[in-house]
Amino acid sequence: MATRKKVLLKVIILGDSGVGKTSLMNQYVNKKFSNQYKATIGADFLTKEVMVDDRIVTMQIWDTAGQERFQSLGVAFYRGADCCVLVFDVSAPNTFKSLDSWRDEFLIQASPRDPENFPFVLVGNKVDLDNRAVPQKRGQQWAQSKNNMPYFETSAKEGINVEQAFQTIAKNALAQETEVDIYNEFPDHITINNDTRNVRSDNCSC
Amino acid sequence: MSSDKMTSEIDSQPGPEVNNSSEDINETPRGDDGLPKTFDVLIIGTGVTESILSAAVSRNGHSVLHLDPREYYGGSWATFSLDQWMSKSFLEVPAEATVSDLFLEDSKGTLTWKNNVDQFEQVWYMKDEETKGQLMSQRRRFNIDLMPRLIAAREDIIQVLITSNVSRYLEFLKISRLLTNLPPPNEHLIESIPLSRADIFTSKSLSLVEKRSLVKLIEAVLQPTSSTQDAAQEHTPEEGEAVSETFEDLVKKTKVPDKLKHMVKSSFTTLEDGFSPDGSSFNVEFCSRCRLFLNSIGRYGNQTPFLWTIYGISEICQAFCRLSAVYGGIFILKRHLSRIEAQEDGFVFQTEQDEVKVKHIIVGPDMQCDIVGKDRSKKEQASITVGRAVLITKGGSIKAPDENSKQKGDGIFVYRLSGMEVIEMNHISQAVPKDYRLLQVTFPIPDTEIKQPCRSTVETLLSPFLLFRKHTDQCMDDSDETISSSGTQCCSDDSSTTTGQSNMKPQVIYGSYFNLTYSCDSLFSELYKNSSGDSNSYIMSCGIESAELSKYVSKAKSIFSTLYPEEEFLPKAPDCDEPDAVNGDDIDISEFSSTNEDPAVNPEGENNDAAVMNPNDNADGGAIGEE
Repeated sequence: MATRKKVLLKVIILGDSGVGKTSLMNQYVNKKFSNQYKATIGADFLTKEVMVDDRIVTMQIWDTAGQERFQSLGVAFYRGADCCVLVFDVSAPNTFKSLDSWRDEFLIQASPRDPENFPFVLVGNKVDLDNRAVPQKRGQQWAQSKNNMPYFETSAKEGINVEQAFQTIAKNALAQETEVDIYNEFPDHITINNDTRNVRSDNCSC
Repeated sequence: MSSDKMTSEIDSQPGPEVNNSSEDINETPRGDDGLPKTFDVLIIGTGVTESILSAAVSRNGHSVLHLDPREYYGGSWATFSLDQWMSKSFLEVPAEATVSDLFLEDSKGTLTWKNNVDQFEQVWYMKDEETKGQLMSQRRRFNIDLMPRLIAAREDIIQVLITSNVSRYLEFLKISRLLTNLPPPNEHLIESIPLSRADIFTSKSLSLVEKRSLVKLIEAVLQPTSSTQDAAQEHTPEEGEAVSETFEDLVKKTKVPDKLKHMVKSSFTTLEDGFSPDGSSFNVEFCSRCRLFLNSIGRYGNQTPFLWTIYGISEICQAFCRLSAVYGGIFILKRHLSRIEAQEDGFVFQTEQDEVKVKHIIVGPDMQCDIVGKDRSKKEQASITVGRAVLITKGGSIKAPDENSKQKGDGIFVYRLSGMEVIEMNHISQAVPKDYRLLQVTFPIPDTEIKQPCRSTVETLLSPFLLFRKHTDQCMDDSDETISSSGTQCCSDDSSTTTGQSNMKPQVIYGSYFNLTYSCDSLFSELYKNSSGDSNSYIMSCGIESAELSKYVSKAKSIFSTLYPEEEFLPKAPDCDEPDAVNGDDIDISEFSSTNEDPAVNPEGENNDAAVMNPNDNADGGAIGEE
């Protein structure tokens, strides 16, 4: 396992609807922002290669695909996450209040091996707005109280701090990954792939 | 569970509201809870057929509202952690959510939730607090399927997963071995079922003559697909001359000895066969299942034809649901409709805040639909019942692995023991924490038998292999080491594990037993057709008459083609961030083969190995990868 294996990190983004989860992801990976809000449609996961400590890692960032809207994210979404990004909207106090339950939900559903040290990153989004309602200090305090998780204030719209936040996410996720690797005895997972080329009509019973 | 708390805290949140930095461009009128007021399709239930349909409908741009009155995905395909399992959440159909009243044009009716789990019983075989505590501290590491399913590598659903690209959300494991016990009086002896040319020829439990006739039998079973394919296609496939031979015919023709016949039967038998008395079902259908089995060997470089879904079978439902959500499908768990009314060109129902209109309704197999006041002859009701047991054991595997599978393959063993299918998993399945094993037991209960608690049946039949009562001199160490280091011989020789020495048997810590019933009121999908509008709108049922995997997929396809006859079923979903997704399969293959360092999963090697069984299969070897 220690050989030059390609590192794939699964990062999931959680938070209330409308806090900008998809926008953050799009700004980071595609450098695009759309001012038009549409409850998430079409966002699945995006991948990006990043350099962390001289290592190239592939970050796979998973969107909730809108399934958080009615509290109907299935446990499958949480499986095997290497880092969890909690997002709130600095102009909407309710989204800040939900952070505790999102964090709890993650720890229950993902049940990471070492919940105490699982890497979370807190992101307060929409700092470009004038009607800020959650002061920076409150965000910092909350982050500190939760095992001192890193806290970033971002604007997915202006691209402020997005790069930095995700760099930290990648770094912390990788640290987590390396620790897990020691225990890794799960070698032979099969990803069934697009071998449509090989589908022969004589085997297709449909 | 956890979501209760979530709900109470988040319910007070505004929905995905339009806030000042953003602007809702969706022109669909929305209610207070942000739910659009019209949908093309309402789906109730998140079992596999409903989930596949949800993905197929949503994928093609139709709007989907997908509800489940339960708090988890999957219906009878659900997977639970140990605490959820013990709290029997699958037994509880939310009381207020059991019945929907239907108000149709000329009739009334109800949709009622059925509970398909019966006679549930749980037992702690080791009652000391320490053992219990240790186990419960890892409760979230369990993923227990209500109905575990082995998927043959060439099963329809695998094809659908690949062509739709839903496979990107899933990971599978190989089932590493298939074993069976011998016919009486040697039922306490377990042998591996040889699955490749190498297996057959290195097997010490088979004589040379047996080996030869086994290969002959396999060739005979496979023959119809390869040589008489053209001829068979001109008739209906089932009537092709060569295909009409039953398994028994082939057995006679190839002069297979009884022991081998038993072994071959055990490996090919599915739950379906168990509902007919031994022999009578070993017919043409059985032969075609044999072919599926044989053609599946080696497809993903596995030693057995079967794949196991990591984290449990519910992942498959959730994967299809995710695709549906990615294309805009809206999912609401713990939501039920009390009233559905037919209106012109569709159906209308109330939610807490609003009235929502849909064109079609699809209900899951757990829903029973009764419509009165219309001439509806009660259609034949089909139902099958399986006995189920979920056992947690400590102390190694039922059959200690021999040298070969001591490698990475040691993970999931499938036993066919005295008519029961036992899937034994260690931690690599992600279904059970380290040092424990999870045994999923399934067996058919024929209609003629009275449905009674199945605990004693399971305990009796499995007692040669497992310790159900605590013994003072039990060996709680993982016995894998001890046994395989002492024996380099083939599995049939180290019979010490299964005879006499009870201290070598795995100890059962916890067991639960129940019956699971699949029933279907109507073999037809169409429950109701509303032809009042310009075009027909339907209430369709995903009910199936058997637990066979392929039935779920074909049901989804047939319902889809009724609703959208002109449309393609689940075309490949592009990878949203891979511009060269079109060439995806090249990339996958090269990537996998270059990082693939383990000869055991080397596709080419494995396929050559399996080539006897499956001469057509060499081309497909690249389709595996490491995580």
